[in-house]
Amino acid sequence: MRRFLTATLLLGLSFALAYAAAMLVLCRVEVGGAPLIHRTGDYFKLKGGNSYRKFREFRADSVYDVVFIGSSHAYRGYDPRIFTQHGWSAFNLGTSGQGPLNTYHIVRTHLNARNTRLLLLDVYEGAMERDGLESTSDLTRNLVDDRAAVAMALALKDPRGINMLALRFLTRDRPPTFVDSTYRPGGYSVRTDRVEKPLHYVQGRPLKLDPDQLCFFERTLEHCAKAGIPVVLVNHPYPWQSDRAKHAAFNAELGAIARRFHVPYLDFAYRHTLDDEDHFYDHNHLNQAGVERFNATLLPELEAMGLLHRQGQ
Amino acid sequence: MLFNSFAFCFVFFPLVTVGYFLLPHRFRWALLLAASCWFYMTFVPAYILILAFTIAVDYAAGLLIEGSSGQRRKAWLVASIVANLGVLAFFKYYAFLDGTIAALMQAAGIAYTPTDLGILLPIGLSFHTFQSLSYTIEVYRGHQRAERRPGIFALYVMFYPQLVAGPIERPGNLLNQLDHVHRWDHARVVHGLQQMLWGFFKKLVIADRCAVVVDHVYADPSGFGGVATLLATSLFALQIYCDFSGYTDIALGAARVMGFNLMVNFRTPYRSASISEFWSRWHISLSSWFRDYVYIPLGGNRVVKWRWYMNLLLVFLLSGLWHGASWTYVAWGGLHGLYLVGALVLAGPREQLRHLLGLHRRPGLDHALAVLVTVLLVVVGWVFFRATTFADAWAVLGSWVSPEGCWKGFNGLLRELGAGMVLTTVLLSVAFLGLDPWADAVAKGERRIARRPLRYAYFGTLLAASLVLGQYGAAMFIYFQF
Repeated sequence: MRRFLTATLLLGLSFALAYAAAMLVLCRVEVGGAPLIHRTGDYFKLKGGNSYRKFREFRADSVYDVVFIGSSHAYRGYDPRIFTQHGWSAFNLGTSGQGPLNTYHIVRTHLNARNTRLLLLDVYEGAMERDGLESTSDLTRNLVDDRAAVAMALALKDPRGINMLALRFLTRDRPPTFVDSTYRPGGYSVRTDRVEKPLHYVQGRPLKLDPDQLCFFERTLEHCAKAGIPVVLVNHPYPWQSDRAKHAAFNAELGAIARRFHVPYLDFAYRHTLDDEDHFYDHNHLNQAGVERFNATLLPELEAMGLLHRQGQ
Repeated sequence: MLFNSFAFCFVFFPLVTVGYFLLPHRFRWALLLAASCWFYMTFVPAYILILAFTIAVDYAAGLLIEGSSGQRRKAWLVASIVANLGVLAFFKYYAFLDGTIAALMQAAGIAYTPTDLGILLPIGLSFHTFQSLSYTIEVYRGHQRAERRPGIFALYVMFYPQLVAGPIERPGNLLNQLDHVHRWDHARVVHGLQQMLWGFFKKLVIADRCAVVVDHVYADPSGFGGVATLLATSLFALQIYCDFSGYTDIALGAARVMGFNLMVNFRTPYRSASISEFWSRWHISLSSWFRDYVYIPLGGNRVVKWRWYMNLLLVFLLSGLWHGASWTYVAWGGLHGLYLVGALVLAGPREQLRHLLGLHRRPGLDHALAVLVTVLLVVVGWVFFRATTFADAWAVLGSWVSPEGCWKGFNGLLRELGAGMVLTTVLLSVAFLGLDPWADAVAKGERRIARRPLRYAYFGTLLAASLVLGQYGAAMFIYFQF
């Protein structure tokens, strides 16, 4: 057995050397303005864009009346500037494809009862059906906080998480490779275009929530309850032509969790007066006209429910 | 549970292996049987009942065959074959037959709606059915004593490393090993793990990377010209080899760690200089099964020529059908049968051509050309294997003979998948083909890297390459569907 352990140790060492050498070459050598590893693997995200900017702009020592979090529905659906106009300080920490696995680690490392007076968690079945790979790849590249990046990469339980971390740490000194022109201060992204061509809305697909994502969703609510961060779950408007049966199944599941954690859940999916073409720019994202109308409905509702509190109150 | 999953690599395999060596020999079969049941039930739990049925039938059949003689002995064998093939026919071929009848009826102008029973094919059904059948046939032939311990017989059919995609074992090899006392043997354990590592490398780095290009093109072959379809089909040739032989290496390695020697199933098949040689190197456990239990009983080559040719064709048509319930698989099998018959019929003219070209004086070139032709024929065959319909298969083959628009869809393919990704896959594939004969021999323990530092460097690099270049996401093994 001692021989076996020695052999395992030696193999581990030679693996570490080979891995370090390979990653050094793939991450440090650039081709076409991006590390070579982007040519050998299809899951790596570039450094830069919306996520890069917002985590450098977010101030953990500030006090936000409301912090929005979730997938692209969040950072494209809740405009902090509208809330600011009404006297509420707001920040949007939503990122591309962000599911509960990522949300949990962002909340744990960035938010607390002092800096977040209300956490608005956008819930979207699409983000909870995925394994979190896309979002983790984006966040491990762009988060400022190492703890959050390492924790979410390991939580993936996927060897690709290790490669993402290696890329993060080996390119730490490199500047971002692209800029997202739709980014606006406060973590928001604006889109003004509308649906031009008729879209195909898939119907009848069964709801398949990822068990790990569901587990992290519950852990997020549990953590917020312990940390004293008030939470509201919101589902932003969906086009009328989208799959209502699937959303109903999602609502049933989510509603049960919300009740269990005593968290309010506002479902605007089909409770709106938006138009599928004029207020959306694709099959499920709001454009700026849609966001303005939706936020104008949401804000008074949050106020009426007493979920927003003026600082000092 | 897939071999290339977190659950297998870091929980199931280590726990079962450690448990196996910690337990006294008399309890080990029970651990392995329980582990195998668990392994199988992680796919579709209810289908273990089908396995239980097969095991019960063949266990009883073995005892009954051994205890009888004459016509009664034969009757018990026939009963076992009918029961096994009946299960296979119902679960695998019902929808295929019903669909074929519906198509024929439609062609004849008769209204017929196929009945969808909503049957899901139990994973690995063709494999364990054939393995179980080989037992009753061997008992009938008197080559194997009937197993009296039901647990041991169940383990023979269900042994988890080879349960869902072979190798299709024979009782003479595996069943007898279940009684051997296996002690911890450092060299054997290390060799087993090395073979598993080579299998993982083949699956993750070669097969699953090739699959990205192959799946993209074969999703709509008519949208691509000859260059893209030839690239995709060549990569599929490598994908299916690395996928299946990768699985086999993991299976053989996992079994070897515990002290079991399973059948070798692949021997660098793309180095074959003829189609008959290809079949002696590709899925050896299946081709030898058909040889021993179908081809030779039909008379093999000890019959008149036309019967011999018919025997070959029949065996390969059945082999195609074994792979999948679709006419494209039958066509693939039939094509290989035709290749073999064609090689026999054209043996004379081919020899004359070799002399005419002076190839008999240049054996190296002669061999290289033979390998090239064999690979080309095999690649043509893979078109039918991979295409989901004949229309798709003809679209691929048509694109190869039509110089017009040969680059169609190629730029789109590079844009969609990333030129770097495609190029990396091609370069890795070429490097793999060069490395395979040596690495395969190392993995099987037939060749040893003598210097210790080089050995560690090699396996450390394999492990690192699997992590850095592997295509993760727990993709299913192709042969699981059979």
